[in-house]
Amino acid sequence: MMAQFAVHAFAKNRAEELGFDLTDLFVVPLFFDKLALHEVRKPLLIEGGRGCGKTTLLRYLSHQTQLSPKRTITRDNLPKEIGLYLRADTQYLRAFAGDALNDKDWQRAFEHSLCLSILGELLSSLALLGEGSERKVAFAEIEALDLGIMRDFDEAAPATLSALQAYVNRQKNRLATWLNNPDDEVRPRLLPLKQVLLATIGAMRQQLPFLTEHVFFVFIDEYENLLQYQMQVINTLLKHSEPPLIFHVATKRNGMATRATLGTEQLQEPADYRKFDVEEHLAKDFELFAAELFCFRMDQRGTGGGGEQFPVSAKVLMDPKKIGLRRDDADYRRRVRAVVDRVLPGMTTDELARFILKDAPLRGRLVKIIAEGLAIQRSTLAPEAFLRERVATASICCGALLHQGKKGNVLLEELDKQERGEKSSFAGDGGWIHHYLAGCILHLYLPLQRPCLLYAGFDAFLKLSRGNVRHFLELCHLSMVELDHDPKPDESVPPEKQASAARTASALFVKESQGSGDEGNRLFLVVNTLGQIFRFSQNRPSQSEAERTHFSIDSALPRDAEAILQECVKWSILFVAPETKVKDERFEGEEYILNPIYAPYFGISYNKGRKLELTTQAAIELLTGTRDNLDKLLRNYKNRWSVTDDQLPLI
Amino acid sequence: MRIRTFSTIDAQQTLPALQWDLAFHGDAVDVRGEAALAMLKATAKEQVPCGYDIRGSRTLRLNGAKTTRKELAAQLKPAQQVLLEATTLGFVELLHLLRAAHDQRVEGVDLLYVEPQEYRRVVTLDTPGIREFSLSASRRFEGVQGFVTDLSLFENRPGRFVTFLGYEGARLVQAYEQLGGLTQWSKYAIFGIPGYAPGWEINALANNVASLEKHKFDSVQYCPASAVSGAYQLLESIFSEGGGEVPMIVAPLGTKPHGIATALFLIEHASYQETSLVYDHPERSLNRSQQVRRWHLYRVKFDYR
Repeated sequence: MMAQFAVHAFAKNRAEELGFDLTDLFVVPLFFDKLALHEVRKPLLIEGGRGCGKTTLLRYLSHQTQLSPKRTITRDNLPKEIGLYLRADTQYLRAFAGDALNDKDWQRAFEHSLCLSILGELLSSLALLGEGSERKVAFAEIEALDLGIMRDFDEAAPATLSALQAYVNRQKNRLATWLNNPDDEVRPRLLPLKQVLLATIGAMRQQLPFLTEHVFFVFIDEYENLLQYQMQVINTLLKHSEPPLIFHVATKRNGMATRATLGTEQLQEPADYRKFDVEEHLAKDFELFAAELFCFRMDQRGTGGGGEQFPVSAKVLMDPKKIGLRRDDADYRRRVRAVVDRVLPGMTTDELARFILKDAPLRGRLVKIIAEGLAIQRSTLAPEAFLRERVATASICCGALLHQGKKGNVLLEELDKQERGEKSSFAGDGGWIHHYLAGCILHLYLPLQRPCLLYAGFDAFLKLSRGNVRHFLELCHLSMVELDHDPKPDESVPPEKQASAARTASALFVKESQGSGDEGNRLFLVVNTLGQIFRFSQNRPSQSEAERTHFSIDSALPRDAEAILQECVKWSILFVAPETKVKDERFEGEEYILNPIYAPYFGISYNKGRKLELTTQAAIELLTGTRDNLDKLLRNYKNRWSVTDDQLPLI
Repeated sequence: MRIRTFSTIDAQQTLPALQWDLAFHGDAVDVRGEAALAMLKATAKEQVPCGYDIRGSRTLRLNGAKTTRKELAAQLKPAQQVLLEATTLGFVELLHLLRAAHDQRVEGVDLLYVEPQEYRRVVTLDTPGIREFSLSASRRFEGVQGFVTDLSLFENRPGRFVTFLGYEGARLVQAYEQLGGLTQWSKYAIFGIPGYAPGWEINALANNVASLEKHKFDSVQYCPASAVSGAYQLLESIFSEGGGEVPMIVAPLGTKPHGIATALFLIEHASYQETSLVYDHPERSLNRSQQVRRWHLYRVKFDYR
């Protein structure tokens, strides 16, 4: 493979891979001003699925980026809020439980650990602010800072900034050593979190005049991984947050398992915190944001023939003050989008239908489906009579329509009308093409090894990634891998290569579902079973229940099945939406949509088509059943829909 | 430390000649576990059921009773012949028991391990070629007291992350999802090659290859799936590459013999957090394997110089 800058442009799609200083790497999301961090001094509960950009956002807001050495910081432009980022270290903090200590001591040990981490970040932020020759002058007081206040809590604590940083690390080591052997090791002095932090900040503000009005934001990432009592500790800090120290948390959906605090009160929204759903805000303008991100990454890697190729400069994309310019300019939107459309072109359904009629294996399969439909009707019409290039999209639907029982001669009449440009049953919003075309195209591709071209193009990538930045970047990355060289100016990634990339990415993310928390194995089975069921549905020649990718459940689930369902939502395996089109007298509930990123792997649609209504029993089996139950469930659907075609391995 | 291995396919002929004063064992979840427990009945004077309570006390339970580190140590005497039945004991139980034996300066311990004839696949259906195996249910990475490490201490001092890998690719996927912070570390993967049976290696490789590529592993090494001494030496050599200065984290996500090697390595090196453990506490599936292949007896002699 040639040295490919374009491949590297999209290769890093996890916050951890980008590091902590995102100064040159962060495209400010278009919702950024809605966070209102400068105005509202209230904790945020930042929610969103895996890969939506929560961690990247928090790292951008943290001191490593805001006070980065790459920025020129003066007393005048010093950010008013200084972010301290903490990621809950699951494997470490979850070990803070058990009989080795009593509950009260575990709580104190956890607070102590949290206190050391935040204190460490606080001191690092100051050290960073005082780093470099210019800053040493601008913020000269930092060097003389006396943090002897810490001796109020521990006589052994040093007073200088650098010595105190070393002290924090030493204390962390002592804590871990003691936890490993609480019977024999000396118990470290457990620091009271809030008092220590407020006293330290107080001393800083007193001695550093440029910090007098400043507020410290603590961002606790992956809150959902904490133990319940640890959440209570954090909840208490949220409830009593006020300047100069405000706590914010980031979590996956349903991640706040308890609203209890250490006192008798519960956390209340919106009195105590604001919930900010990153995915929901991102979705509002995802098309523009994704296109901008695409241009930004390509531009950064110097691909695509130079900066003038892109209608926006990286500087604008990285500037929170320029969001309005980007969001409100329709012409700008069009121009940015045009860049991505050029590199990642899709095919219109008409182009794709014509392509199918010209492609021997696909055409052959269509002829076979039409012939079978005619045979069921005992019709003597020739299948080729239904294949008309001028109305290719209508022709593609004929196989399914015949299998639905529509008479062959009626279809030919409607095809004639369509060809003449007259009103026909094929056309319009409620017409057959509207209802069945995508399903029919997917059906034609289903048994073939080739990926369906419906998965190609920027529009398809947007639908597949559904507001998930990481999924979008992976689709772009693998498209460039497929291309195998840097695109020249005006060169596109062929749709076949994009579709292939979509299938590879999809398979990767199916596999990745195994890593979804404690129940990852189970969630992996849910994805595979559900994907297979939808694939069986997709493989019905009649397409009478086209593009099935979501389901509802006819009554309440028992607790264990409900818990798995919530895990699926938490890990974005499923998206939840209010139910529509409820049959019979059932109450409206919720419906669950399989994440569209899994669609190419199973050969199903990324659209939300017809709904599968699961009985409670079937849902229980899907969510908690044994392997044998799942086998049986799949066989039932397979038999019910009389599917004889190829089938993917369940795993 | 000296580790000698005795392997046989005919345990009835060879193992009954051996006798132990005390044997620790876990619950059998499959046929080989039952076979191992039956062997214990014939060869050990005293048998102690042992389990680690991951959901509650985070302590060992001996005969169903919570047991502290000191109480456990008190059960072991230097001159005793002790057997740890590693087929049925989990990794954490083995780690605690080996540490207790080491703390008590027991001369040595024996470990018994029975290989499966076949592992159970996830689903049957008409799907040839599937490689996923149903060996564990839920899992969660959580530190083990005594071997807990605060990864934030290494933020500016990336070390070596060494993981043994086996059939379940999900375990490594989960490690990266739950641990984070290892991006800058040097990464070593160790596979059990040759596997217990010809052709088994490919399952482990196929199920992990995507993760190895994604997380850019620096080194992929091999050690026979049933070799405790080989795996132990491999860990020692990786550790010595850093001159003992570079922090090292070991994740035993592969075969049980490799888990035993990890436990032995950690009890030698885990003080002062120079090396530590990350582990996901898999809940073993019932009937995860079928029948019995080979029996191994690992005879460990500690070196207390």
